[in-house]
Order: sequence, then structure tokens, then C-alpha cells
Amino acid sequence: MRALLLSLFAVLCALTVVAHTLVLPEERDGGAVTDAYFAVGDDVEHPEVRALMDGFRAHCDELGLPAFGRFGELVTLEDAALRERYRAAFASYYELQTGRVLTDTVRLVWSTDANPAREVQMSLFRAWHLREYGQPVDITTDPSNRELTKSIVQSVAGAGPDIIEYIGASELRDLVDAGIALDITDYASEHGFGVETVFEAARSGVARANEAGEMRLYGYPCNVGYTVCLYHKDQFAQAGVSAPTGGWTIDEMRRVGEAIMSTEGMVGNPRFPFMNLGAGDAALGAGARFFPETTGAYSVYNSPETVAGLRAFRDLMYVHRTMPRPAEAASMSASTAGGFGSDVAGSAPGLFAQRAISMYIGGRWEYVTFAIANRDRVIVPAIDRRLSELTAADPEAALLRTARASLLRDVLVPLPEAADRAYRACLTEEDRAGLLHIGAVHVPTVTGIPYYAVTARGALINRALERDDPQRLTYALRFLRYLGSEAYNEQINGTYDSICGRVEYCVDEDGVSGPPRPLPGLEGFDAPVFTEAMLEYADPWQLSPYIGRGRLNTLVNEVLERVQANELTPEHAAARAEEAINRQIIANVREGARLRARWERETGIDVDALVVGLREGGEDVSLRVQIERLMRGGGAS
Amino acid sequence: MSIGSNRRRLMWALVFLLPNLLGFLVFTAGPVFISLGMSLTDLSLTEHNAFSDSEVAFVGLDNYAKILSGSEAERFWGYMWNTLYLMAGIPVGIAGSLALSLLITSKIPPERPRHKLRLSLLVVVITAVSAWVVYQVTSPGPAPLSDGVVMSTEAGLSDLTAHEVSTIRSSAGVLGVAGVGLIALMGVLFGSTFFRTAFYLPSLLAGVPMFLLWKALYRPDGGLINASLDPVIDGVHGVVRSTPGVLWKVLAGIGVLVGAWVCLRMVASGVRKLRDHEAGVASFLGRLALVATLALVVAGCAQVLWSLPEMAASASAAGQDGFDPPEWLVSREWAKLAIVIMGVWLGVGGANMLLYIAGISNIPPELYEAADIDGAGAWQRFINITWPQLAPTTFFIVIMSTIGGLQGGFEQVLLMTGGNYDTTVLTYYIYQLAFTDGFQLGLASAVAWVMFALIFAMTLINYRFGSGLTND
Repeated sequence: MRALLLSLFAVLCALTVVAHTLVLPEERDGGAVTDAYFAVGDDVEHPEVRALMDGFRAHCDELGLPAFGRFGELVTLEDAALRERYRAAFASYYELQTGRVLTDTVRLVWSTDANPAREVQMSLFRAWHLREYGQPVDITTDPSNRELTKSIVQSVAGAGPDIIEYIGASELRDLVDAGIALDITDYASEHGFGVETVFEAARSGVARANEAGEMRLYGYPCNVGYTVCLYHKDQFAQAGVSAPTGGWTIDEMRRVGEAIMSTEGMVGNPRFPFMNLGAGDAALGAGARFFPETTGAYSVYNSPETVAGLRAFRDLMYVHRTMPRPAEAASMSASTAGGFGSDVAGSAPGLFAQRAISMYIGGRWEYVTFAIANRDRVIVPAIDRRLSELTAADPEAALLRTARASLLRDVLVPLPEAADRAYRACLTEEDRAGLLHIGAVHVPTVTGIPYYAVTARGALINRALERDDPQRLTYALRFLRYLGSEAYNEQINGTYDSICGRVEYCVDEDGVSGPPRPLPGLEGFDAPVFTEAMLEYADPWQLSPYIGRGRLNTLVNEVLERVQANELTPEHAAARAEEAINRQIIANVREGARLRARWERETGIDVDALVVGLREGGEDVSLRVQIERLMRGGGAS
Repeated sequence: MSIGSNRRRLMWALVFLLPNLLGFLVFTAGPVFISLGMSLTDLSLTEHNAFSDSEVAFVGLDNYAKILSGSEAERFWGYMWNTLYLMAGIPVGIAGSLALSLLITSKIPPERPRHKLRLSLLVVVITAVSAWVVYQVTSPGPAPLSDGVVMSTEAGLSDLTAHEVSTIRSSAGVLGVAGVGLIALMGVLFGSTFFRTAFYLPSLLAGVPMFLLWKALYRPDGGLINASLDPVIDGVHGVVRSTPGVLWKVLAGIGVLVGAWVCLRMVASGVRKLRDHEAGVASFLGRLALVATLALVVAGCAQVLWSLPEMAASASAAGQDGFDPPEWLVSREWAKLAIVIMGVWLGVGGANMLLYIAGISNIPPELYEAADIDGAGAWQRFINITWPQLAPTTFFIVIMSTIGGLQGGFEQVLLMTGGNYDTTVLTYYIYQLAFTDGFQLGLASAVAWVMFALIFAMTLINYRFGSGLTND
């Protein structure tokens, strides 16, 4: 028995060794870095890289490898075996010339999502770095650790990624407060991508004021996010209504919706004219504010604007039936959901792509959903139909095959001009009628003045690099500089990954700068409304130093979900939400000495003078009333 | 055996135990005690870490005070209520487990092949007839010439006509009947082996896939549950509208009277048994709990019957053909109940059923033989033999289910409602405090320890009264 147990123990040890040596090590072949050299090989100006590439061409001749025209061709060689031979030849030549091994190149880790666009963005970075610095660098994503909690826990434990992606000002605040975010203000200013280069409304998502009130830059936008109102042009045309050119009111939108719903035989047979406006957004659009303009010391959410916004929101569902109720939205959702704004919203593009909804609130990133719908429903069948009429040797057939393969591989990649022209020529009038024709207009609000709460999806550097690995820190800083580069920002706009964060690379004379030829029907995704939203109507997220965004959301959502369910009047909801926020702020302030000192300095009143649940003359006196009364110096509570 | 040999054996035993012991100390006992220490501090991951120079402060019992009577009290007690609410299904689940185990351990299928064949044929015929009836009732008939495309929740994003949607629903009904028939047939052919496997199956799959499946079933409009309920509650609506309202009020009154009579009889019988020393205090308390549950059920049903005429009138006034089906996971009224119902379904056929099967198989057959000789019926056999003999098993199941209930709910809430619609439970609250709401590890640890205290207290109470029950 003892021998058996010892044998089992030995087997376990052996398996551990095998796992450690064979399974755990990352597979690194240096192929991505080699491809970066090939990508820049034709036009790179950096002398070292130029010399290396010229030498490699000669080296290939010596090795008897087939001659090639441009280095760029090697990246996309269809013959995979030959491509690998070029890569291997380059790796050995690189080692011979530099004394370094390609697979030892520094590889940064970027905690971001598993979006296929990241591959393109990383390839661009490797190439950009070679052009700018003449040195190779590698980068990989870490999608499983993208979430904020993991980023913080792993970083404070010393195992965090080099570059941490985050969403918005509240996550930035958590990362800065945790001491994880590196201050890059000076480096960014020196290299021309300071905070002033970012859209003003998105700046709170990358920078924070220090104790002295000075704005310090910690991150740079990967993109900036907000949603507009997307609509089906054909449904509007059939109902005889025109899309607004500027801001519009919720009532105007509702009348448009009624016209669409009352039109006989409306294409797509929509179930609701409108979807995906959140209660909170409706209130903000009406002018609601969580906090006064000048301070985050208390909430002023209970306002006529909030009530008007919430009432309009509720009436859209329960009075006018313009928008589905939560249960209806959940049912319509293919994925089902816990509530509005969660995965119900995730299904909205699908419903909209079916024309089951005429207008919905969505982002520019949803281009890809509709592009795929158009490709699969109309474009590829049209190409196949035309191909069946042509002989294999026909030059048009070759172009169509190129277009078809590229569209199916990645619908966002721009086609060569000839292939693009060829497939567009296949589309008949009937085909074009079957395409989704989507326009973008401003989000309707109670007042008719558009409002957009904007934030950035940003990236920052793990401060541990400063202490542990200065060399990696250098490369990580360069990555942030790359996020501010023209190459990266054009890629974001050209692939409809929302819009880029740097103003100068974002806007052109027609609106958002994008690819020269959007897919048929989807030209609206370059509409001026996207830039108008950012430049004229955008506001950063409203935050307070006295209450976390997570708790603020919880408190407000608990109330707003009851408005959604028509269980609470807008008046009560606004009052309850405000009081709940203020109670939390007061509790937080009373518990933390530093926070208390700051709050009392800011308001000029003693927080202990406030009474939660105070009643005077049989009436409740809210904390806000008490605070404002004390701030005005009018009597103690 | 010599002393040296014993020492050697002990040493080897320790050597082989060591990995487990070390693992337990490092990964279980260690963190548990560290969390106790953390609960007495203001530890926050964002304020106290390797990058920060601020010191963790000892705050004594402040975190506990904050939870139990301070700024977090309202939230804590609210979530405690939610946790207890979700545990409401535990007694039902235990009763269901017992019922299933009794069914499975009884000789359901006939043993003689000829009888087995006859019963199989009967099941097949009943299934075929039922399926035909369902098809006749639900089939939409031939497709109309002009039928607009509607959104089909069943089919995701494809464009289906109303006729096609009705056909899918009808087919689902027929398939459902066929499925039930197939289960019955398998039961006849393979007996309890099949049922044990079938009833235990949800436990093998329990977890995320089950929760997602139930989430789909609960879809308010088009989910299988509401699709099945819709015709029933619409039928009730029709019946209520076509009958005088006073009839429903009378029915409610009769229900209350009958319920009250039954409850009083049960209490009186319990008092008599207690007085005559035929049963102990624990048994009497158990009976009172049963009476209270019954009274609640009767009162609830009576209230529904009483309100039916007004509800029907209100639905008709709103232009509806019938009552609105429940908005399961997207309303505060139904979300918690939906999770409870799912929990009951998952709990009935799980480990509790296996424990009861094991308990039943350990009951000496002589006891039943003696009861048979005394002329005891099935109910008397159950009350006087099976139930007392299963008391230790029941005691164990109640303790484990209570502990599981207090600790549970996290995945269900996270996946099914995201904590919306007043469904946040204590475990989800701990997660929120520790990882999504300020990284307040000290406070989150305090909540965990308060939970521990509650679980410990409830276990002690169970132990105190449960031990008495086993001795009855």
C-alpha cells in the first residue's frame, strides 16, 4: 500500500513537472514581430531598420528564397509554408545582425477585451514602434483580466498587466486612489499628447485633479463612448416623416413613432417605434443633475428637470406605448435579461436589425452588427448570384471573389477600390431595397436640447513598472503615445469602434472621419451628429468625491427600476433617490476623518448638525434642505 | 504490535495527511481567521495596498455596528430579508425530496413481464391520445393567405409569421406530452433505477446552465412557463367574467371556514397528544409550524378568490382578453418568488432525495411487518414508522439546507437578475462591498462574520430542537 501511495505521489510530481515545462510556457515564435518588420519594410525611414530590411532582401537571394516585390506581400502570402520560411529566415538574419533573439523582444501585456479589432491595433503598434523608434516591441492582450476588480486585486498583489484598460472616470478614480495608475502628465506633454488633445467632455475619463487642483493625466482614451438615436431610413420614408436635422423633443419623436406604427404594411412590421432609452438618461437629458455645478458635497437630484425626464420616460412605456415596458423588452430580447440597460440593451441591435424597432439608442460601434446583417442577407447572395453568371476566368469574377472573401473574413476591413466597385455593381434595385438603411439623429430629450453623458475607454500604466521594470515602463509609455497617434486614431474611426479620443484626428468636414467607402446603406454612421454630440452637447459623467459611482448607481437604480415598473411616481422617485444619495454621502463623510474635513471645508458646515429623518411641523425635512439652509446660514436644523 | 511499529504507522499516517492538513490550514483556516481580523479594521483595497502609504486602522466593532444599526443597517437587514425569503422554498424542497424518495423506493412498476407489457401499452395509448388532444386544441390550422411577419421570441431573430409562431407553440405542447409519456414508459420498463437517474439529473447540471435555462423559461412573454400559464389564466378570466362575482366571495368565505376548522382540529389534536405525553414539545412546535403554513396558504388562496372578480373587471376594462401573466424576473413582485420556485425544483431531486433513499433503505423491514400485523394503513405506517425513523436524516438535511440557504443565492442573483428587483442577498452584498463598491474588505468581512454567527445560531437552534425530534 505504501509503495502504491508513493508511486502515486511520484506520478503527481512528474505530471507537475510536465505541466510546468510543456503546458505553462507561452508559445512565442516571434512571428508577430517579424510581420511588423515586413509591414514597415517598404517605406520605413529609420536607418537601422532600413539597413536591416535591405540586408534581409539580399540574404533571401543568398538563401535561394523566391524573389518578392514588396515586403508587405510577405505578411499576406497565401502559401503558409513559404511565409514561414521567410519568417524563419528573417529571425536568423536578425539574430546574426543584432546579436539578439526575436523571441526575447519585450512583450507588453494589455488587459483589454477580446475584440478582433485589438489584433489589428496591436499589429499597428508593433509597426508604429518600429517606424518611430527603430526597435521591435511585442504586445499581447489579457482579456480574462479586463475587469476592474481583477485589475486592482492583481496589480496590488504585484501580478497586474503592464497596461490596464478601464471604462470611465469612476474606474479611473478607483485605480488612481489605489495608487496603481502612473502619472504620465509630464511625459504626455513632452510628447504632444497631453490632456488638452482629448475631447473636453472625455477628459475626466483620463485625468484627475490633485490636492492642489492641478489636472494630472493618468490614461489616454482608447476611444470615447456615447449613444445617439439610430433609425431606419426606409421606415421613415414609407411613413412620410423626415428625420430631424438638429435636436428634437421626446414628443416630436413620439409623433414620428405614431406615424410609423399607423402606416399600413410598414416594412419590418415594427412592434415598437422606439427602444433603449434609460430612465436615468431621460432625466439627464431633461437637465437633471446629481450634484450642484460647483460641488459634489450633496445631491440635488430632486428637481423639476428630473421629474420631467422620468415622467416622459414612464409615459413612453405606459401611456403612449412608444417604448416597450421592461417585461416586453425582456421578452423581445433573445438573451433575456435582468433589467433595462443590462443585456436587454445588448439584444436591441438585433431587434433593430430586424426592423422590429424603428428607432433605438445605440452607439457607432454597432455599425458592425448592421454591416454583417447586410452582408449576410443581401451582399453575399448578390455576389454569389453574379458569380454564377460568370466564368471562373472572368476578371470580374476574380474581383468578386476577393470582395466576398474579404467581407466574410472581416466586414470592417476596407476593400481594394476595384473589388469594392465590382461588388457594389452586383446589387440590383431590389437588393438595395432589402439593405438596412440606417441614419443617425440626436437622442430626443424633454427640452429638445441634446444631451450626451460621455466617457472614455482608457488605458493607463501599472505603476509597479516604475519600481520593477523601467525598460518595460519605457515601452508602456510609448504605447500610450501610440494611443494618441494618428495611426491609432484613424484606425478607431475607420473601423467604427465608437470614435477616437483625440479631437484633431476625429473630425473632418463631413463629420466623423471614417473609411472612404462605408458599406451600402450604412453611410449614416459617419453623420455629423456624432461630432456635434461630442463638440456641442457632451458632458462628462457626474461624480462626487464623497460617494462611489458603484454605490450611486445602486441607490439610483433601486429607485428608477420602480419608475420603470410604474410602481413609483417620478416625484417620489426623484425625492427618494436624492435622499438616499445624501444619506450615503453623510454616512461616508461621518465615517472618514479626511473625507469629513474635506466636506466641512467645502460646505462650511458641521456634518453633525444634520439630522437624518428630521421632521418639522409634521413634514419631512430632507438632508438637502438642511444642508442648503445651513450653507445659507439660515438656522440650525 | 510493538510501540515502534505503532509510531511508524502514526508517522506515515501524518505524512499522508500532511498535504491535506497544510492545504486546510493555508487555504481555509488561515483566510477564515485573517478575515476575522480584517473585520475589525477599515481595510480597503484601494486605500491600503503596496502602492499606498496609509496605515490600516483598527476600528474595533465599528464595522459590526455599522452593519447592524448604522449606515448600512437598512441595506443589511433588507438583504437579510431577501436571503430568508429565498430560503422559503427549503421546507417545500425537503418535503418534495421525501415524497420522491418514497415513490422511488416503493415498487411502482409491476414485476411480472406480462403486467409490465400491459402497463407499457396503456402508457403509450394514453400518451398518444393526450398528444392528439393537445394538437387538436392548440394547432392553428392551415396558414392564412396573408399573414404579417411578427417578432418571434421563440426563434430569436428570425422573421416568422403569426401562424408559424402558433405552430411552434403547438408542436412544443405535443412534444411536452410525448416527453412526459416517454418518462412514464421508461419508468414502467426500468423502474426506480430510471427515476433515480432522472430525478438526480438536475443536480448534475445545477449551476450556471440551469440558471440560464430557467431564465429563458421565465421570459415574461413567450417563455415556456408563461406560454403554458397564459391559456390557463385566460380561461380563469373567462370563467370569472361569466359568473356572478358573489360566487367567488362565497367560495373564499367557505375556504376560510374550512381552513380554520382544519387548523383548529390540528392544533387541538396536538395539544391532546402533548397533554397525554404521546408527543414531545418539538413535535408540537413542528405541528404548529405546519398549521401556520397551512393558514397562510388558505388565507392567500382566499384573498385571490375574493379579489378575482375585481381583477377580471379591471383586466377587461383595460381591454385585455385575460389576466396578465407574471413578469417573473423583471418585477419586484415576482423576481424573488421566481428564484424560490427554481430553487425548489433544483432541490427536490438532489442530494436530499439520495439521503432519504438511503435512510428509507436502512429502516428495518420487521417494523413494517409488525405494523402490517397490527393492521396499520399506509398513512399510519408512514407517520409511526417511516417519519420517526427518518428523523436523524431530516435533522441533518434541515441543518445543511439552512446553512446552504443562508450562504446561497449568489449565482442565481448574479445571473438572473443582477441584484435588480429587490433580489440582492447577503452573499451578493458581500461581493458588492468587497469588489464593486469601494473595495471595503473590512466591512465585507464583518458582514461575512455576522452571517457566520447567524448560521451558527440557527444550527444550534436546529440542533437543540432537532435532537429532541429524533428522540420522539
